[in-house]
Amino acid sequence: MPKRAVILAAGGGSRGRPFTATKPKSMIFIAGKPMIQHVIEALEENGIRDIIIVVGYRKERLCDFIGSGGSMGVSVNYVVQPRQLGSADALSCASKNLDDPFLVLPGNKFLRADTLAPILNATSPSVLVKTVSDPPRSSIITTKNNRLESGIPLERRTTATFREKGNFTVDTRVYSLDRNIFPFLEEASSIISALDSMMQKGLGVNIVETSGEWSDLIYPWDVLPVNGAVLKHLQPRTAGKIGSDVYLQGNVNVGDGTVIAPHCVISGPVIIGPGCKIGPQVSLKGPLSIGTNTVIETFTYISNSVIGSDVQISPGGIIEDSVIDDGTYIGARFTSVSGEADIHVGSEHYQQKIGCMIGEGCRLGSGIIAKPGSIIGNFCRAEDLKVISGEIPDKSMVV
Amino acid sequence: MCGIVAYIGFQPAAPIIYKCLGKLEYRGYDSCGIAISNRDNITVEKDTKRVAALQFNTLPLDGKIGLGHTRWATCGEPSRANAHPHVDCLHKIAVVHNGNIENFEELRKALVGEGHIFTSETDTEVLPHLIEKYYEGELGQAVTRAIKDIRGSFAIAVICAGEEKVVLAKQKSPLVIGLIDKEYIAASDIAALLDYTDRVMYLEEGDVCNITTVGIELYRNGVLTELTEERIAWKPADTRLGGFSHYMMKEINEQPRVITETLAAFEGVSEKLIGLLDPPENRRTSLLMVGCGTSYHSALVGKYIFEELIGRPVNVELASELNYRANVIADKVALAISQSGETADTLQAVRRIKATGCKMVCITNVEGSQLSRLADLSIYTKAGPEISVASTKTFIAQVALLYAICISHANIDEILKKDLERGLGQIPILIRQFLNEQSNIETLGRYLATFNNVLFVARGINYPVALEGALKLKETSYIHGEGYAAGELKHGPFALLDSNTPAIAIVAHDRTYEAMLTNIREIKTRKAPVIAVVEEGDKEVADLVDIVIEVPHTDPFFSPMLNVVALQLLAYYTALERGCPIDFPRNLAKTVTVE
Repeated sequence: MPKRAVILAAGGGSRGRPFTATKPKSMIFIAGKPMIQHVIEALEENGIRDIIIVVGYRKERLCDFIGSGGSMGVSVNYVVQPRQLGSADALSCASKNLDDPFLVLPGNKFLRADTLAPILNATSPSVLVKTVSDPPRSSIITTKNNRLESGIPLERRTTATFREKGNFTVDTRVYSLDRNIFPFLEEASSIISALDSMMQKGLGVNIVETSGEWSDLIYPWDVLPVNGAVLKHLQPRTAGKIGSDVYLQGNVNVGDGTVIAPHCVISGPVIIGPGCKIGPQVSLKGPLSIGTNTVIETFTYISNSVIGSDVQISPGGIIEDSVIDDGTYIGARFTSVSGEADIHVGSEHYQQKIGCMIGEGCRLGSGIIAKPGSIIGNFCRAEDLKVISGEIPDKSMVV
Repeated sequence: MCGIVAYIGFQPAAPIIYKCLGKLEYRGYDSCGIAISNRDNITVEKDTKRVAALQFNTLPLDGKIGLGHTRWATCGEPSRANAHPHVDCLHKIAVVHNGNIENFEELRKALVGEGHIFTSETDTEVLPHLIEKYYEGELGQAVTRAIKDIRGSFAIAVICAGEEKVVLAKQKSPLVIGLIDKEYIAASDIAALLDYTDRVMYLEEGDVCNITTVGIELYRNGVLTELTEERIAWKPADTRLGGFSHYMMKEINEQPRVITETLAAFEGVSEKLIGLLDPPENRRTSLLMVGCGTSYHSALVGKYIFEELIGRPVNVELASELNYRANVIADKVALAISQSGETADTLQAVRRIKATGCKMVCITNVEGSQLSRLADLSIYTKAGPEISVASTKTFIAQVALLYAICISHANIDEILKKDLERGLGQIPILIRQFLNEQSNIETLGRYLATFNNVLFVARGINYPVALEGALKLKETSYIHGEGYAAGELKHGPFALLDSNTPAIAIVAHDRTYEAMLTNIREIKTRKAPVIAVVEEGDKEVADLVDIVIEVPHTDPFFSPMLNVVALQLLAYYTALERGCPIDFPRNLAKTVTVE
C-alpha cells in the first residue's frame, strides 16, 4: 500500500479564469478550504501523511497556506516544476523523492476519503476511474477487463460533439504508480498517455473503479457544483454572536467572531467563516460558502453561491448561482439573477444555468445588474447603474 | 538574552534538546551548548556555532536528562568558554541561564575567595558555584537557597549528577514547561515545544520547580502549589519553511492572510476596547504608546491614524528611553506593542506606567506572554510564529489592528466608517495583487546592493514606513539605511547626498504629495539616484525619478500597509544579492529579553 502521495498543483488553469489568474486552481476556496486541502484531508483519513506537492504557477499562495501541513496532520514537502509542461513533466520533477509504490493525485479535483479507498490496495500501475454521464471529452478513456485499453483521451480519437452523453469511463487523475513509469514520462504530455505507452510496450495497466464522490473543476462555473458536493457533508456549528430572531435551518456552520444580526434567515447547508458580519434581515440559502471577514449588509438575498474572504456586499443585493472572489466590494442593489447563459471560453461555448462570476479585488458601484453568465475579471471597476454581460477582462473599467 | 531548554523523560535527551534549540535561535545564536546527565556523570558539549553545526553525537545517548542553551552574548564575548551550560568545580552541577545577574561581580569575588575556580567571563557561572556551595544532597533546596543571593533577571534550568531531576527557577525572564506523558520539556518559549505538545504550564515570578519523571513539584512563594495546565493554539508546522527559501520571504507572503485573520479575530473585543482606550472625559489628553524597534514604528503609524481620524493626540515613546525618564506621564490608559510580548524594555516600561495607576492595553502576537499577562486588555495579532529576525508580518498585523481599533471608535461618522472599513477590507487583496505583479524589485535589489548608504524619505503617515524600510535594509543587508522625514532633509542630511547615495522616496496621494514632489526635485538636483514607491499610473513622479515601484491604488490613508511591503521586498532582494544570512543577521536576536 502506498505510504507517500504526490499532489500535482503546478498548473496554470487558463480555462478557470478569472479565478485562476491570481492563484493556482487548487487554491480555489470551497467551504472555507482550498481545493487541495480537501484532497490532503482525504489522504490523511486514509493514513497517507507523507505528501509531496508539485508547485509552479503562483506557488507562493499555495505554500503560504498549506505550509508544512502540520495543521492538517500531514507532512508536506514541495517540488517546483519550473515550466508548466503538463502532468507527466510535473511527476518527473518529483521522481527523485519517490519510492515504490506511490499515489499521484490532482490538486484541483474534488474527492473524498472513500473515493480513494479502492486504489489503495490495487497493484501498481493502476488508474482510478469513475463512470460519469456527461464528462468532458478530454478525460474519457477506454478499458477492457479491468485493464486500460487506450489512454488516449476521446478528444483526440473522435470528432464527436464536445460533451458525450451516456456512461463513460473517466480518468480521475488518481494513479497508483511505481518507478517503472519514469522512462515513459519523458515522451509523454500527460500521465495517462505515459501509461498508454507502457501498455503498448506490453505492460499491463490496471483499472480500479470508484463509486465515491469525484468532480472536476475546470471552468469557473464548476465551483458551484463542487461547493454543493462539499457542503453535503457540512457539520453544523455555531460560534460568534447570533442575534435575536435569527432563523437557522439545516446545517449551518458559523465561524468564530462572526456576528449575525437579528432577523436573518439562513437555510443550510451554509458555511460562514470567522469575523464576518451578516445582516440584519439577510436571507441566505444553501449551498453557500462565505469566507473570512466578509460583510453582507441588510436586505440581501444570496443562494447557491461561493463568496470569498474580505468581500463586502452592500444593502439590497440579490445574488443567485454566483461566485465572488476575495476582496471584492459590491455596491447597493446589486443584482445577479440566475438564468440560462451561453458562455464563450476561447473557441468553445457552453450553456449553463448560472448567475455571475466575479474575480478578486473588484469595486462595483450601486445598482449594477450582472446578466447570467457574465464573467468579471480581477480588479475591475464598474460605475453605478451599469448592466454587465459577457466577459470583462482583468483590470477593466466599466463606464 | 538567550534561549534555554531542559528535558527529562524516558527518551535520549540530546536529540530532543538539539531540535528544540533550533527553534529558539531567534533569541540568539552566538554560541550554543548541551549538557547531558548520565547517572553519575555530566557531559557538556558547547561551541561558538549555530545549533545546526553543533556535534551532539559525542554526548551519551542513554542520558535521559539534559539542558540546552543558545546564546546572545551580553556578559563576556562569544567564545567556547563563555558558552552555556556552565558547571561547578566538581563538574557535578550544570546550569543554563537566560537573563542578567546584576550582582555577579561581588558574588564571584566571594566565591573565588572561598576557593571556587571560574573558567569564563560570564555572570552565569556564579550560579553553578553558588549551588555547589549550598548543596547538601538535594538540588531543589540548593537552588532555592542560591537564588536568594542573586539580584537581576533569570530563567534557569539546573541538573546535578546522581539526581534524576531538573530544577527550574524564574525571575523576570520567560520560562514555560511543556507537559507530555511522563516527559517534560522546559523552554524559554512555546515555539520550542510545538513539535511535542500543546499542553503547557507557565511559570510565574519567583517560582522554583522540581521536575522528575514522576511529576512536577511547583513552589510558589516557597509553598507547594498545584500547577495549572494550559492549551496552546499554535500548530507545529507553522515554524517550518514550507516551500520558501527564507522565512522572511515566507512571512512577507503570509501578510495578506495574516491581516484578514487578525481583523477577523479582532471584532470580538472591540466594544470593551473603546471604553478602555477612549473614555469620553479624556479625549483631548494624549494617549501614550510604547514599543521598541519595528513595534515602535507601528506605534508611530498609530499616532498618525489616531490623530487624523479621532483627533486624539498620541505620544509615542521608545520603551528603552521611557525607562530612564524621571517622570512617566501617562493618561488613564496606555498602549504597549511587542511581537513576542517578552521584550524586556517594553515590559519594564509597562510596569512603570502601571505603577502610575494607568491601565494598559497591549498588542502582541503571543498569547500567554508576559506582556499579555501584565496588561489589562490584550489584543492579539494572528500572525503565527515569526521566525525571521527582521519583522514583516507582525508589523503589518500591528498596523492593521491600530487601524481597526481606531475605525471601531464610536465617534466616527457612519458613512466615513463604512468607507474606511471597506478600504481596510481591501488591503489584503491589494497586497496579494502587488506580490503577484511586482516585477522590478528583484532587479532593484541587485542595484541597491552596490551602495553603502541609502536614504529613505517620506512625509506624513508614510514617514514611519521610511523608518521601517531603513531598518529592514540595515537588518538584512547590512547597508546603512536611514529613514528621514522628507522636510528634514535640508536641515542636515542634504550634506550626504551625491551620486553614490540613492534616495528612496515614498509618495502617497495625500496632502503631502506636492511637498514630496518638491523634495524629490531637490534630491535630484544633488545628483542622487531616486527610487520612488508610488501608486500605479503616477506619471508625474515617474517622469521625475530614476525608477518607480508601483503599488496598487488605495486610499492614501491606508498606503503604509502597501508601501511597507515594497520596502520589505527591496530589503530582501538586496540582502539576497549581497549573500547575507537573511533570517539570522549577525549580532541580532529576534526577541530582546535583556535591557
